[in-house]
Amino acid sequence: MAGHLRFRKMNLKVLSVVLGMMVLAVGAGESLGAPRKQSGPINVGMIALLASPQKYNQKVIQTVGFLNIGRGRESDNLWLHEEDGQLFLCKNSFALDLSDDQRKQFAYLNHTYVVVTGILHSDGPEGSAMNSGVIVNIEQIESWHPYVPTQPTVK
Amino acid sequence: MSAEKAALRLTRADLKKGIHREYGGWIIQNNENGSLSYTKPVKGQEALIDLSKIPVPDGFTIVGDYHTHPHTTSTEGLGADPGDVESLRGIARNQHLDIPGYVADTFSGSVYRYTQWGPPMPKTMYDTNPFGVKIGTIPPD
Repeated sequence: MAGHLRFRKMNLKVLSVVLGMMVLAVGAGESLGAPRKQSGPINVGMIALLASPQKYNQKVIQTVGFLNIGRGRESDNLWLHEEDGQLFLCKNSFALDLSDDQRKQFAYLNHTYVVVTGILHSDGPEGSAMNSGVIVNIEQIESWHPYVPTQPTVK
Repeated sequence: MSAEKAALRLTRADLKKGIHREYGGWIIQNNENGSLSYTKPVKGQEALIDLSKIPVPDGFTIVGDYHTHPHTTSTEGLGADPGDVESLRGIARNQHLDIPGYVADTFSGSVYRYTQWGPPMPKTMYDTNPFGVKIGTIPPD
């Protein structure tokens, strides 16, 4: 009996290992082979976007950059870094197609780093436009919370 | 002024249809007699116009560019913005042409002449001052 029980226990162990491997194999197949549908925006950094904007052309993207809402719509841009705008490095930016209401709505975020979600239109990094493209159909602009160190306690 | 008048008329007509779009072109000079004219204004986008694809007729030289701003309020400002000045710098760098630019906005009809040298010079792309010198006004048709 004891030997038979041990055999059954061993069979259960083998079965569980085999089942586990099957589950892993199915999971791996899904992530490696089968194409997955992009449900939300593509979360991509500004450097990747600026390097190959044509890869993301006409796609809904979400990225982080320095927001400038200027006096007119033609000055609304998302910059890689704040310094890029200070140094006129315009290829390190995307124009933002904001409505009048959005310009007012997001004015409080001006000159801060923000998360922008919208559709990218670009002729590529070598396009004749001054910047690297334009983000249209902007769904959301949110604050990018920087780390704020705690103030030292005054003794 | 006649170039800006033609471009402004088209920009204002688009605005009446709810379309915010810039128009612009080159100001050109006849190489033989020195007379000035302009290329027909072409459509841009809301905040962008690409002049690089506008052909210059044989026997003419580019001596300036012109464009419009489809503004609907006074707060959007007068004259050139830092992007316009930077665009002239781009033309100087890429086409080796140091030319003035002209811009008119639909709200005020004010026409400004500006150069990459100022005055005043934009300090950054975030500068909200108007750039250039006012040279006239084009009233609505």
